[in-house]
Amino acid sequence: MRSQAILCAAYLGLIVLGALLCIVAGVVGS
Amino acid sequence: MTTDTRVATPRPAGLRTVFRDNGIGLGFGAAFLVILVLQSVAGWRSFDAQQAADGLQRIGWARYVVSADFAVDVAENWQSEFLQFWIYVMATVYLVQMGSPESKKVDETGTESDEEQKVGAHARPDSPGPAHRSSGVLLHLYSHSLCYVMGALFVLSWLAQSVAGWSSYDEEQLRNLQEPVSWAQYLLQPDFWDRTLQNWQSELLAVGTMAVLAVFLRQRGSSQSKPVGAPHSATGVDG
Repeated sequence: MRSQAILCAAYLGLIVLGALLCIVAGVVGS
Repeated sequence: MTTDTRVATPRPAGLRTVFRDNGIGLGFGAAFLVILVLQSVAGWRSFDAQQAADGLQRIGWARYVVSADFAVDVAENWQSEFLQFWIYVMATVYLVQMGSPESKKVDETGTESDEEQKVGAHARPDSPGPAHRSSGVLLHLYSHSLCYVMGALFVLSWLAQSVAGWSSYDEEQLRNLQEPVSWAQYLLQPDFWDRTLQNWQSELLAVGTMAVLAVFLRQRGSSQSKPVGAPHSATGVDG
Protein backbone atom coordinates (compact mmCIF):
# COMPACT_ATOMS: atom_id res chain seq x y z
CA MET A 1 0.00 0.00 0.00
CA ARG A 2 3.06 2.28 -0.15
CA SER A 3 2.32 3.81 -3.55
CA GLN A 4 -1.31 4.39 -2.51
CA ALA A 5 -0.14 6.21 0.64
CA ILE A 6 2.21 8.41 -1.44
CA LEU A 7 -0.61 9.19 -3.89
CA CYS A 8 -2.98 10.04 -1.03
CA ALA A 9 -0.41 12.41 0.52
CA ALA A 10 0.28 13.98 -2.90
CA TYR A 11 -3.42 14.69 -3.48
CA LEU A 12 -3.89 16.17 -0.01
CA GLY A 13 -0.72 18.24 -0.33
CA LEU A 14 -1.74 19.52 -3.76
CA ILE A 15 -5.20 20.56 -2.60
CA VAL A 16 -4.04 22.27 0.61
CA LEU A 17 -1.17 24.03 -1.20
CA GLY A 18 -3.48 25.08 -4.03
CA ALA A 19 -6.08 26.50 -1.66
CA LEU A 20 -3.42 28.35 0.35
CA LEU A 21 -1.98 29.83 -2.86
CA CYS A 22 -5.48 31.04 -3.80
CA ILE A 23 -5.71 32.75 -0.38
CA VAL A 24 -2.27 34.34 -0.86
CA ALA A 25 -3.26 35.54 -4.35
CA GLY A 26 -6.37 37.12 -2.84
CA VAL A 27 -4.56 38.75 0.09
CA VAL A 28 -1.70 40.08 -2.06
CA GLY A 29 -4.14 41.35 -4.70
CA SER A 30 -6.41 43.12 -2.19
CA MET B 1 -18.74 -13.01 12.88
CA THR B 2 -16.70 -12.45 9.75
CA THR B 3 -14.71 -15.51 8.76
CA ASP B 4 -12.73 -14.03 5.89
CA THR B 5 -9.40 -13.19 7.52
CA ARG B 6 -7.21 -13.34 4.43
CA VAL B 7 -4.36 -10.87 4.42
CA ALA B 8 -3.41 -9.32 1.08
CA THR B 9 -0.10 -10.81 -0.03
CA PRO B 10 2.53 -8.19 -0.84
CA ARG B 11 3.70 -8.13 -4.46
CA PRO B 12 6.91 -6.79 -5.91
CA ALA B 13 6.11 -3.20 -6.92
CA GLY B 14 7.52 -2.80 -10.42
CA LEU B 15 6.84 0.49 -12.20
CA ARG B 16 4.27 -1.16 -14.46
CA THR B 17 2.51 -2.60 -11.41
CA VAL B 18 2.49 0.81 -9.70
CA PHE B 19 0.86 2.42 -12.77
CA ARG B 20 -1.69 -0.37 -13.14
CA ASP B 21 -2.60 -0.42 -9.44
CA ASN B 22 -3.04 3.37 -9.30
CA GLY B 23 -4.72 4.03 -12.64
CA ILE B 24 -7.52 6.17 -11.23
CA GLY B 25 -5.37 8.32 -8.94
CA LEU B 26 -2.56 8.84 -11.46
CA GLY B 27 -4.80 9.17 -14.52
CA PHE B 28 -7.19 11.69 -12.98
CA GLY B 29 -4.33 13.58 -11.30
CA ALA B 30 -2.43 13.95 -14.58
CA ALA B 31 -5.58 14.98 -16.48
CA PHE B 32 -6.34 17.52 -13.72
CA LEU B 33 -2.93 19.18 -14.13
CA VAL B 34 -3.25 19.34 -17.93
CA ILE B 35 -6.74 20.83 -17.77
CA LEU B 36 -5.74 23.31 -15.05
CA VAL B 37 -3.04 24.63 -17.42
CA LEU B 38 -5.55 24.80 -20.29
CA GLN B 39 -7.98 26.65 -17.98
CA SER B 40 -5.25 29.16 -17.11
CA VAL B 41 -4.54 29.81 -20.81
CA ALA B 42 -8.23 30.25 -21.68
CA GLY B 43 -8.80 32.41 -18.59
CA TRP B 44 -5.78 34.55 -19.40
CA ARG B 45 -6.86 35.07 -23.03
CA SER B 46 -10.35 36.07 -21.87
CA PHE B 47 -9.05 38.37 -19.11
CA ASP B 48 -6.46 39.98 -21.38
CA ALA B 49 -9.04 40.58 -24.11
CA GLN B 50 -11.25 42.36 -21.58
CA GLN B 51 -8.29 44.47 -20.40
CA ALA B 52 -7.62 45.47 -24.03
CA ALA B 53 -11.29 46.29 -24.64
CA ASP B 54 -11.35 48.46 -21.51
CA GLY B 55 -8.15 50.24 -22.56
CA LEU B 56 -6.33 48.90 -19.47
CA GLN B 57 -2.85 47.44 -19.02
CA ARG B 58 -2.36 44.05 -20.74
CA ILE B 59 -0.95 41.25 -18.59
CA GLY B 60 1.07 38.13 -19.39
CA TRP B 61 0.13 34.51 -18.58
CA ALA B 62 2.62 34.32 -15.69
CA ARG B 63 0.99 37.35 -14.05
CA TYR B 64 -2.51 35.97 -14.64
CA VAL B 65 -1.88 32.58 -12.95
CA VAL B 66 -0.98 34.31 -9.68
CA SER B 67 -3.92 36.73 -9.90
CA ALA B 68 -7.02 36.70 -7.72
CA ASP B 69 -9.15 36.34 -10.87
CA PHE B 70 -7.63 32.96 -11.71
CA ALA B 71 -7.58 31.91 -8.03
CA VAL B 72 -11.30 32.54 -7.52
CA ASP B 73 -12.21 30.65 -10.69
CA VAL B 74 -10.22 27.65 -9.46
CA ALA B 75 -11.33 27.77 -5.82
CA GLU B 76 -15.05 28.18 -6.50
CA ASN B 77 -15.07 24.91 -8.41
CA TRP B 78 -12.91 23.09 -5.88
CA GLN B 79 -15.12 23.98 -2.92
CA SER B 80 -18.25 22.69 -4.63
CA GLU B 81 -16.60 19.37 -5.51
CA PHE B 82 -15.47 18.81 -1.93
CA LEU B 83 -18.87 19.88 -0.63
CA GLN B 84 -20.49 17.35 -2.97
CA PHE B 85 -18.42 14.45 -1.66
CA TRP B 86 -18.67 15.64 1.95
CA ILE B 87 -22.46 15.76 1.79
CA TYR B 88 -22.60 12.51 -0.15
CA VAL B 89 -20.46 10.65 2.39
CA MET B 90 -22.62 11.95 5.27
CA ALA B 91 -26.02 11.64 3.60
CA THR B 92 -25.49 8.07 2.41
CA VAL B 93 -25.18 6.93 6.04
CA TYR B 94 -28.89 7.66 6.50
CA LEU B 95 -30.40 8.06 3.02
CA VAL B 96 -30.79 5.16 0.61
CA GLN B 97 -31.96 4.85 -3.00
CA MET B 98 -33.71 1.62 -3.84
CA GLY B 99 -32.07 -0.02 -6.86
CA SER B 100 -28.96 2.20 -6.93
CA PRO B 101 -25.38 0.86 -6.86
CA GLU B 102 -24.49 4.16 -5.14
CA SER B 103 -26.65 3.25 -2.15
CA LYS B 104 -26.51 0.82 0.74
CA LYS B 105 -29.29 -1.75 0.99
CA VAL B 106 -32.53 -0.11 2.13
CA ASP B 107 -32.55 -1.83 5.55
CA GLU B 108 -28.96 -0.85 6.40
CA THR B 109 -29.47 2.83 7.22
CA GLY B 110 -27.48 4.34 10.07
CA THR B 111 -23.92 3.85 11.29
CA GLU B 112 -24.37 0.04 11.56
CA SER B 113 -23.14 -2.39 14.25
CA ASP B 114 -19.52 -2.97 15.27
CA GLU B 115 -19.80 -6.41 13.69
CA GLU B 116 -20.88 -4.98 10.33
CA GLN B 117 -18.18 -2.32 10.54
CA LYS B 118 -15.47 -4.81 11.64
CA VAL B 119 -14.63 -2.78 14.75
CA GLY B 120 -13.27 -3.77 18.20
CA ALA B 121 -13.63 -7.53 18.78
CA HIS B 122 -14.85 -7.90 15.18
CA ALA B 123 -11.73 -6.34 13.62
CA ARG B 124 -9.72 -8.50 11.21
CA PRO B 125 -5.98 -9.03 11.62
CA ASP B 126 -5.39 -6.68 8.69
CA SER B 127 -7.87 -4.01 9.83
CA PRO B 128 -6.40 -0.50 10.34
CA GLY B 129 -4.99 0.10 13.85
CA PRO B 130 -7.80 2.28 15.27
CA ALA B 131 -10.44 -0.30 14.21
CA HIS B 132 -9.05 -2.72 16.81
CA ARG B 133 -10.16 -0.35 19.59
CA SER B 134 -13.66 -0.82 20.97
CA SER B 135 -14.16 2.86 21.94
CA GLY B 136 -12.31 6.14 22.47
CA VAL B 137 -11.39 9.31 20.61
CA LEU B 138 -9.01 7.62 18.16
CA LEU B 139 -11.69 5.16 17.02
CA HIS B 140 -14.22 8.00 16.71
CA LEU B 141 -11.84 10.14 14.65
CA TYR B 142 -10.90 7.26 12.35
CA SER B 143 -14.54 6.16 12.00
CA HIS B 144 -15.42 9.60 10.59
CA SER B 145 -12.05 10.54 9.05
CA LEU B 146 -13.29 10.66 5.43
CA CYS B 147 -16.07 13.02 6.45
CA TYR B 148 -13.77 15.23 8.57
CA VAL B 149 -11.12 15.55 5.87
CA MET B 150 -13.61 16.22 3.04
CA GLY B 151 -15.33 18.79 5.27
CA ALA B 152 -12.00 20.46 6.05
CA LEU B 153 -11.06 20.59 2.36
CA PHE B 154 -14.45 22.14 1.57
CA VAL B 155 -14.09 24.81 4.28
CA LEU B 156 -10.50 25.61 3.22
CA SER B 157 -11.34 25.93 -0.47
CA TRP B 158 -14.52 27.93 0.23
CA LEU B 159 -12.42 30.27 2.37
CA ALA B 160 -9.94 30.51 -0.53
CA GLN B 161 -12.80 31.34 -2.91
CA SER B 162 -14.03 34.07 -0.55
CA VAL B 163 -10.61 35.73 -0.19
CA ALA B 164 -9.69 35.53 -3.89
CA GLY B 165 -13.23 36.51 -4.90
CA TRP B 166 -13.09 39.51 -2.56
CA SER B 167 -9.83 40.72 -4.10
CA SER B 168 -11.15 40.22 -7.64
CA TYR B 169 -14.42 41.97 -6.75
CA ASP B 170 -12.66 44.98 -5.23
CA GLU B 171 -10.45 45.28 -8.31
CA GLU B 172 -13.61 45.40 -10.43
CA GLN B 173 -15.16 47.96 -8.06
CA LEU B 174 -12.13 50.24 -8.35
CA ARG B 175 -12.10 49.85 -12.12
CA ASN B 176 -15.73 51.04 -12.15
CA LEU B 177 -14.90 53.90 -9.72
CA GLN B 178 -16.98 52.23 -7.01
CA GLU B 179 -16.18 51.84 -3.30
CA PRO B 180 -14.21 48.67 -2.44
CA VAL B 181 -15.70 46.42 0.28
CA SER B 182 -14.19 44.56 3.23
CA TRP B 183 -13.90 40.73 3.22
CA ALA B 184 -16.84 40.47 5.64
CA GLN B 185 -18.94 42.75 3.41
CA TYR B 186 -18.00 40.67 0.37
CA LEU B 187 -19.52 37.58 2.03
CA LEU B 188 -22.89 39.35 1.78
CA GLN B 189 -22.46 40.40 -1.86
CA PRO B 190 -24.48 38.70 -4.61
CA ASP B 191 -21.18 38.03 -6.47
CA PHE B 192 -19.97 35.67 -3.70
CA TRP B 193 -23.26 33.78 -3.52
CA ASP B 194 -23.69 33.68 -7.30
CA ARG B 195 -20.28 32.02 -7.66
CA THR B 196 -21.04 29.67 -4.75
CA LEU B 197 -24.59 28.60 -5.53
CA GLN B 198 -24.12 28.11 -9.28
CA ASN B 199 -21.58 25.42 -8.43
CA TRP B 200 -23.57 23.83 -5.61
CA GLN B 201 -26.72 23.35 -7.69
CA SER B 202 -24.85 21.60 -10.50
CA GLU B 203 -23.08 19.21 -8.12
CA LEU B 204 -26.31 18.21 -6.40
CA LEU B 205 -28.05 17.67 -9.74
CA ALA B 206 -25.21 15.46 -11.00
CA VAL B 207 -25.13 13.33 -7.83
CA GLY B 208 -28.89 12.86 -7.76
CA THR B 209 -28.95 12.05 -11.48
CA MET B 210 -26.24 9.42 -11.11
CA ALA B 211 -27.97 7.76 -8.14
CA VAL B 212 -31.31 7.57 -9.94
CA LEU B 213 -30.18 6.74 -13.51
CA ALA B 214 -27.93 3.92 -12.27
CA VAL B 215 -31.07 2.12 -11.05
CA PHE B 216 -32.07 1.40 -14.66
CA LEU B 217 -28.96 2.08 -16.79
CA ARG B 218 -25.71 0.07 -16.88
CA GLN B 219 -22.09 0.39 -17.94
CA ARG B 220 -20.64 -3.05 -18.35
CA GLY B 221 -17.46 -3.42 -16.28
CA SER B 222 -17.75 -0.14 -14.35
CA SER B 223 -17.44 -0.12 -10.56
CA GLN B 224 -20.07 2.64 -10.61
CA SER B 225 -22.67 0.41 -12.27
CA LYS B 226 -24.55 -2.70 -11.35
CA PRO B 227 -23.77 -5.77 -13.49
CA VAL B 228 -25.69 -5.61 -16.79
CA GLY B 229 -27.91 -8.51 -15.74
CA ALA B 230 -28.59 -7.29 -12.20
CA PRO B 231 -32.29 -6.62 -11.60
CA HIS B 232 -33.44 -2.98 -11.31
CA SER B 233 -34.45 -3.66 -7.69
CA ALA B 234 -30.92 -4.77 -6.65
CA THR B 235 -29.52 -2.10 -4.33
CA GLY B 236 -25.87 -1.61 -3.34
CA VAL B 237 -24.51 -4.11 -5.87
CA ASP B 238 -21.26 -3.27 -7.64
CA GLY B 239 -20.37 -4.39 -11.15
